[in-house]
Amino acid sequence: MAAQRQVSAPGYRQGPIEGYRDVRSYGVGMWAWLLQRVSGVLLIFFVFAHFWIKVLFPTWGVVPMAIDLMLILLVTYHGFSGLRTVLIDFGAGVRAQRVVFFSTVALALITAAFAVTAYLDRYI
Amino acid sequence: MDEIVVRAFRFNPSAGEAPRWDSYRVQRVSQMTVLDALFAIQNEQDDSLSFRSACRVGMCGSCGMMINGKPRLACQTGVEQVGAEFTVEPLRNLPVLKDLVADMDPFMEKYARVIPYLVPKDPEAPPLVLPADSDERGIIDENLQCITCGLCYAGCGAATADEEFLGPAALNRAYTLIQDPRDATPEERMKVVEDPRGIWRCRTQIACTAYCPRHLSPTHTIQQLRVKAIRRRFGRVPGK
Repeated sequence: MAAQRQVSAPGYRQGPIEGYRDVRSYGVGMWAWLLQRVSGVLLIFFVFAHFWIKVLFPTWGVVPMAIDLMLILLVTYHGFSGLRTVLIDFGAGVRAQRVVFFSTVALALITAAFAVTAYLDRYI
Repeated sequence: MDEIVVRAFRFNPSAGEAPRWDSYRVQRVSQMTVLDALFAIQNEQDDSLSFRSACRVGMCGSCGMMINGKPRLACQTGVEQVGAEFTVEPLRNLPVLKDLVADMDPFMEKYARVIPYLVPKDPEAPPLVLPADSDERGIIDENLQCITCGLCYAGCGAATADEEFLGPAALNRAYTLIQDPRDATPEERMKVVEDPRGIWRCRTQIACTAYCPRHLSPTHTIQQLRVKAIRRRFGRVPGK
């Protein structure tokens, strides 16, 4: 008679929570994916906040300025991160994902720095 | 004495115990791999520790496990790469049989779903009809290096979120056979990979490419399958 194969105990399986909880397993691609999603969700909030302050109830001060600066940072990062996704969708940069990701971050920061400088020149 | 500390995931379903972590101090030797450390524990301290291994040279893919949270082959990972204290646990995204041994059945069942063998158009034709320098042969030769170790599946965030996702290895195998002009079943395979739990479930987190011990790129082949799927529905894709 063939030996019976032992099967895992019912109720134990390393599921999504256990899988995602261990950030050591996050590679560059996972961080890029996560930052793209987080920046996208934050963008929704900051775009509405920007619209609220600039159009519905125009006001000026530290908070509106901080919202605008965050918006600049998020738009530039999310935009460049989107270009990275397009590159990878066309099969480019898959093996050089580390270089592509850090280039994305660097380009976003440089562009944001220029945009913030222009913003401050105009409003301060 | 130069020692390393191995924190091993322990789980024995037949004993009815909850999963736990045990620590072992092991004397470090020159050129020591994680697999060597596990054998040292098993031989000298705790013979109840279970893990898989066979070839010890990275060819069979049986010693895949999570080492410091990352899927790796224990025989190909030197202890100097992972530090003086490291953790070992079974491959993620799969049920645990015992200690460091994951149940590979879900992985293999998905692999089988893509019909992972050549179905010849003409069973009587001679076996080698593709020139060695042809494009198809290039794709086939590269992807035949897959040893089905399951590291890509264990590192895959999409498989963590959805246990029905076909996974990188199965999709990689499907692409290899779909690109083979000698194969008679590319349409059947495309139907399997075009399932919502197939190519469209991939989140392009590129973990499979990063962790593959044979340096394959399932991310790339999944993108190629997506292009093929779009072509089948909408005609040619610009630039492809």
